[in-house]
Amino acid sequence: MTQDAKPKTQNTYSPTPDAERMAQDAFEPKIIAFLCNWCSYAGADLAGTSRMKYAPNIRIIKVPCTGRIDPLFILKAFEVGADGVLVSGCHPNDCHYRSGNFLARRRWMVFKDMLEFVGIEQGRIHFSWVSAAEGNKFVEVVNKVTNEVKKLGPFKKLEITHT
Amino acid sequence: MIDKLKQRVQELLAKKTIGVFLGYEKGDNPKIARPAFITLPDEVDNLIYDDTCIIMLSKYLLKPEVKALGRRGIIASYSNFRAIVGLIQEKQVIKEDIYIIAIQNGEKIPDLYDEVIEASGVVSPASGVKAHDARPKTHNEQIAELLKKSPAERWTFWQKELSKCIKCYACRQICPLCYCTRCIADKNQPQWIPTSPHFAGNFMWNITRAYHLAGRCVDCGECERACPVGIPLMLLNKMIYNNIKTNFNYEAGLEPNLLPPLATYQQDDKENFII
Repeated sequence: MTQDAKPKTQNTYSPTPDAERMAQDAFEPKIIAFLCNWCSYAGADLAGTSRMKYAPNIRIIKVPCTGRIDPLFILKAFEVGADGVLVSGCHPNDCHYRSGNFLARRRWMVFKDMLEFVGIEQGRIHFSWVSAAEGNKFVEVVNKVTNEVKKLGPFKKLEITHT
Repeated sequence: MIDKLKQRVQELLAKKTIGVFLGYEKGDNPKIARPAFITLPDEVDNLIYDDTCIIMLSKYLLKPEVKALGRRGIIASYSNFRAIVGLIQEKQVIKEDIYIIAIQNGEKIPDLYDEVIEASGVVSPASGVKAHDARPKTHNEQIAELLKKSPAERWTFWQKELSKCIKCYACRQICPLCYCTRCIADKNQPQWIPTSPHFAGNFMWNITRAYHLAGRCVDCGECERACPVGIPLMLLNKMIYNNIKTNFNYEAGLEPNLLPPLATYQQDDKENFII
């Protein structure tokens, strides 16, 4: 894997120079990424061992399968301070446990529509299929999600205020 | 109609077909009938059936104290009936353990009863939703209006409504499909849903409960009726209900042999939102 492939313009990561960052106090979103152990986590690992550069804003939580993810986890991530959430799993028919990602898919659709109805910006929550061989795709997904969440700014809707 | 009901219940108890009959009796509140647990044939005179009979009796089918009394007979009108079917779908109630006396008052009822009693003209179809203020629009109309607004306006609406919540959990206690003996809201090691009635805790609780009812809510409206601060909970539940109906052509509590949609899957489920 080499770095000289032309990066796609909208999904690039350019590290903000330190001086610039300190001057701007630029907002760097915290993004929690729930990755399934067998595909997406391995894909992320491949991106790492290939020394691909991508936005450093994600904090990865490894789950055995996306089917393990209760949407409550996503809500909890927002409650404890995440600005965005990425959930990524195996492609349909590739699930290590056969049907975990199929069940997750239905849950996500209903959950996403519910959050939209309540008024949470859609750009804060993303779902993807990333296989263990798709280090490239993982990089693209992370960069895309980070850019979108950055544009939306910090998530303050669930800040605990004692009034 | 009530005489026929009393007579039938008396016979069922005398023959020991059932151990207890769940019906309604006059209580302290003149607007809402109290659940009645009839175990002796002589007690049937307490039974009533009219417009005050709106509480979901199906909630009591799962209580261990009621189960201990023997085979449970129950009176079932539309919303109540759907809740019972919903519980059968989720294997919480076995059909053979209960005896359903269905109320026929002009609405289509599931074909799962043991006997039926005609009640047209006695009651209006039980809606179960008594609003705290006079809401002139139906749930679906209000949901449609909300969907036309921008996300920021919707957030303002829900922030205002959910700030009222005092975490009394009346919605959970009265919902026939909220039967978990260990509710996630009560778990405190670790705590998933903050118990404090600040906005974050209220949001987490109400959204989680609404989501856990996705594909399971039978649209009885009791949660909204029970809420002491008047949160329009049914707007949230009904929105998910409509979403499930559109996407999976499914409504809970009508077909006892169907699995809830989130417990199963199809190969070609929609995934246009997945990167």
